[in-house]
Order: sequence, then structure tokens, then C-alpha cells
Amino acid sequence: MKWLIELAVLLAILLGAAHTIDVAYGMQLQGNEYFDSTGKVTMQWDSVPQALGYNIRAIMFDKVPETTYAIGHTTQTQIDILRPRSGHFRFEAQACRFADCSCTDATGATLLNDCPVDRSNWAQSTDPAHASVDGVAMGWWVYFKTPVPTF
Amino acid sequence: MARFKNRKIDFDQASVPADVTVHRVYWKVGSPPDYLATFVEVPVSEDPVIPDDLPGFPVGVADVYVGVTAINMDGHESDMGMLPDPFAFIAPPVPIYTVVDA
Repeated sequence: MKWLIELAVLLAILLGAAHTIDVAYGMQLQGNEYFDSTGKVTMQWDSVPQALGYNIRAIMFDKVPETTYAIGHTTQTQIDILRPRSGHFRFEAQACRFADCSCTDATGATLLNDCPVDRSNWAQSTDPAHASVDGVAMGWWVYFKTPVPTF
Repeated sequence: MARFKNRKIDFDQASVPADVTVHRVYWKVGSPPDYLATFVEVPVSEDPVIPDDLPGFPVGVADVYVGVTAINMDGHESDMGMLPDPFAFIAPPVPIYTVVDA
């Protein structure tokens, strides 16, 4: 069974603007770009029936190969994400059948590796089919700015 | 030739994010620098000494404004932080003297 997950977003203390960006591997993204200089964004998503937990990850797509940062799993429907490094990031959420986002094999034994039966596909914040901004279906991503040096 | 007292930019190393690799020091005479100004990159672990560590840094003129940015491993550059006061590496004039027999 595949769960659907709808990503919505509430980003605190951010400035956003409709924007098109060229991704390193040739495709274009259209949506809202948020510039963050605080080093933290708050991501929120809709709850999914039968899901007890969610996996969250952040992906820097400035260059190929993309760099994936596993943020972790939570039973809540929002999470604060600290700046992994400077650059353009999209965020992805995955619904899990179990609160700890573990999964099981046919015998019920817990598996540590990825287990699609007990987890949904990843929903991407840049995909208007799953993402929205202020209630409007739209992709979004965040540019984590490099902090100004202090001296 | 005149000699100048060095000044050091003392970065707060504890606050440098792990992905930042270099600091870029910009300068401009007469007004604050922008990203088109002359600059020198220094390793993030070093606190650069002005003017010795900044080849081309103007000496003998007043009002040299300095700004610094951080650049991370992917080439993203921060906003520019400005040093509060302009530099003026100007030596005092040569003393005027006469030799008097004691």
C-alpha cells in the first residue's frame, strides 16, 4: 500500500519570491525560493492516515551528485531543520507505518534497510503535485545563505 | 622606507561553520567595497595581518575600507561584513633636524 503525503509549508522568518532556477543537471525548477540567513527553517506537512511517523531529509541540489542529509524521523507533522551547509536545498518527507520509521519483512521481523512496503514514496518540496505555498500548489526550496564572518 | 604597524583581523573562529573554507578580504579606497573590489582569499583558519598578508593592499593612503565574506566548499559567498573604521597606513613625516655640535 502506498500512502500519499501532502507537503505544506510554513517557513518562519523567511523572504520568498516566485522564482525559476537552473538546476545543475539541466532541468529548471519553478516555484518559491526562500532565502534563509537564520540557519533554521521550519517545515510542516499534512498528516497521513495510518502513518505513525515520518522520515525527513534535506537534499542540496547545487551540483551533481546531489547531497542528501538524513534529518531524522518524527511522529509530529513539523520539524525544525538547521542549515546543513550553504546552498540550495529541497526537502522531502516520507510517511511511515511505524513511529520509528522501521520496517518489517514478511515474517514481521524488523528490517534496518529501506522497506517500501511500510513506507510511502518520498514527497519532494519542489514538486507542485505534493508541495504548496500558502495553500497554493507550488514547489519551493530554500537557499541557506553562508553566514557573514564575525570578527 | 617607512614601516607600518600591522593590524590583524581577528575572526571568531568558533563561529565559523564547518562548510566554510576561505574568507575573502575586500578593500577599496574612499568608500566601502562591493563584490567588484580588489580582494585576497585567506584560509579560514588564519587571521590575516594587514597589510603584510594582503598583497596589493594600499599603504600610504587614507580611508581604505575593508570588508570580509565567507565562502563555503561549494563556492557560495556570504553577505559582506564591514570592518568598522577605514584603515590609513600612513607613516609620519620624516623628522626635520639639524645636527648641532654638542
